[in-house]
Amino acid sequence: MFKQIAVVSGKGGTGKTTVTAALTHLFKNNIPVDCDVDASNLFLLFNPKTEKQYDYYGGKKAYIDINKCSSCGLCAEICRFDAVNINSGEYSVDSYSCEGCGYCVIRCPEKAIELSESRSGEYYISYKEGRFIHGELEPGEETSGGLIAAIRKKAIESADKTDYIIIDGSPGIGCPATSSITGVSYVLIVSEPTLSGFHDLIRIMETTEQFRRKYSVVINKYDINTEITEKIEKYCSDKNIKITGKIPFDKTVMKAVQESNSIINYNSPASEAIKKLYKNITEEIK
Amino acid sequence: MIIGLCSKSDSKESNTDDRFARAEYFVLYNTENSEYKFLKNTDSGEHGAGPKAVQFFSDNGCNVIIAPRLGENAVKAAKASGIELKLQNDGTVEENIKDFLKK
Amino acid sequence: MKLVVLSGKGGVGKTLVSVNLTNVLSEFGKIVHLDCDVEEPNSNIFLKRKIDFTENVDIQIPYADSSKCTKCGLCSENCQFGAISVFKTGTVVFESLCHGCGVCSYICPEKAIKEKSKTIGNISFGEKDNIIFGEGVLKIGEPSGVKVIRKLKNKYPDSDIIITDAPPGASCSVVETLKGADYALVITESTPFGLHDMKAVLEIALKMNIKTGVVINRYDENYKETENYLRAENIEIISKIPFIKEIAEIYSVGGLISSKKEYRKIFLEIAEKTGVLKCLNK
Repeated sequence: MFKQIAVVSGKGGTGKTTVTAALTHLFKNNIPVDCDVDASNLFLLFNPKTEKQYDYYGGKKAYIDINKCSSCGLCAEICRFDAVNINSGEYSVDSYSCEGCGYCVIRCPEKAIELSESRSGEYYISYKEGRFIHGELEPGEETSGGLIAAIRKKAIESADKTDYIIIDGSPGIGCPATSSITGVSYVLIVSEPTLSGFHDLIRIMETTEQFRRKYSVVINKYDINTEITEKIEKYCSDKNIKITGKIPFDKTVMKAVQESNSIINYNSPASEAIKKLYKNITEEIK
Repeated sequence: MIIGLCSKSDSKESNTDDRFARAEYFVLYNTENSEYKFLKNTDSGEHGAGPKAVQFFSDNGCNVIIAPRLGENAVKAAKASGIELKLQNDGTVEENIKDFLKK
Repeated sequence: MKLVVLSGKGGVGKTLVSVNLTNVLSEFGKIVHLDCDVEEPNSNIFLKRKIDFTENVDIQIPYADSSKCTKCGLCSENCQFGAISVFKTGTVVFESLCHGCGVCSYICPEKAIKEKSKTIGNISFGEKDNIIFGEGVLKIGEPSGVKVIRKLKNKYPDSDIIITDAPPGASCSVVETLKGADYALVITESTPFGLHDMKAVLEIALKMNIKTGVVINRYDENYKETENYLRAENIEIISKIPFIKEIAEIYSVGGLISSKKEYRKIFLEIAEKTGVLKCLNK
């Protein structure tokens, strides 16, 4: 039976993908899953070969048939999402704003509006020394939660003789982040010792607790501000949350990213720290 | 009574699934005739899967659902359906039912 | 003029640019700074405006009056989100799934569905020394910040110069933030991640017909791919901010790097090249 580990961050740019990539090289027998569908960077690092591609239909959008439309304007009046545009007297639906609720469809006196399935993204099973699952949301779409659920389902279906599913989660604290962590055995939160990093860490910790997930925190680039690192350590210890890793600022990380390689493949302080992190996590999830 | 469970495949020896709403199969066990029914879960990953799954069990006359820890929407739906929730153990479908009926 | 600072990838310097741009511009006139990164708003860590007032952002959530509900199920049938369902003991609304669209309360033949307010976040404002600051915060547990962003922006539709810090990424929250913008300033970094994620937001800005320029932060002259791409696409590179540890250190303690002469000129250049400075001087 495999275990699912999700790596999240709250704030973007803390090193979530770098840490996730390293962990996928350290854990034996795992499937990496890139759930950051807005910015699928784990996929970039791995550069796997696409085997199968699936369309994702996240929701519906409304369409106005201008041949039937009488320009009464009721749809624009009642739409709670500001999704009806008027251009030179012609009504159309702004597909970015439309949430596919169908209210305008029901209310339109001419029955001129229809709801249709809208393709909002894609997901893939790819291959690089093992399966790699990822997906991409069409820019501007909102249904990332559903796409992430579909990606995670594919990962579970592909988990044959797999010990771990390692998820590169979405940043933030909204639906994409929570869809990345729901139902996992363990969450690792990557933080950075800046005021904004600390502020955002508190919010993602609270979100993770709301989902009742077991978790720990790793402080990346900890030596750029040891004072804030100490504040984070105290905050976590007051809440009985372990700091499972402290990774030093290391220019090799940027080099590894530019060379599309995992930091683990370089001899560097960050590598050493991540190896320690890996050991600590394996203890935690026993 | 009818007991609801979720499983990885369609036999009583198969393990319970550790996901509820997105499990591979839904199981209905009738204590009156000791019969099992396995139905493939056609959930497509959309939102609201938890309550939908509970609705399925409710529509099929379940009084109890043996399941993993459920999310708050599924719990709310179970309460509204008058369905009791029991935490499953790591064993097979058959083992879980035996354990439940013992108590 | 409304300028929105955005980035595909998080952590590349979006807030660094937006707060320092606002800081430098405030020397010349009144600036409105809106932080639309409602999941993780950070601008005020740097701008340090005292908050004068806060307003809740509410959505309308339905609930069923059990004394009138006949359990006909029409609400459930017409809900696109699975947010309302009929069970043995009555009709239940699942608030986390509800979009607040109004379909169920309209369609109920018994008028048994009423609506109540639910707070999903808040917007706050403060003003001092030429900077009018507005920030939106999404409540923890809420799935989407789009409505908070919309309400925040509606507070200042006609003001002169608005610098907006957008959420990272390329999703609907970003689109909501970009609506009505005159200029999209995209921040990226000299890595393949930065390049890839920048393309997604450029695509949105292009589709929305918004003038776009790019700032390459943590600039590394050895990584040429980003510049080559932008040149090929005819997108202006507004500035290249070097990879300097001191910048990271000042940022980490909530300091404004533009307070230092050598960094101030970076943001002056951005203000000039994007046309904001000209607008301010009118």
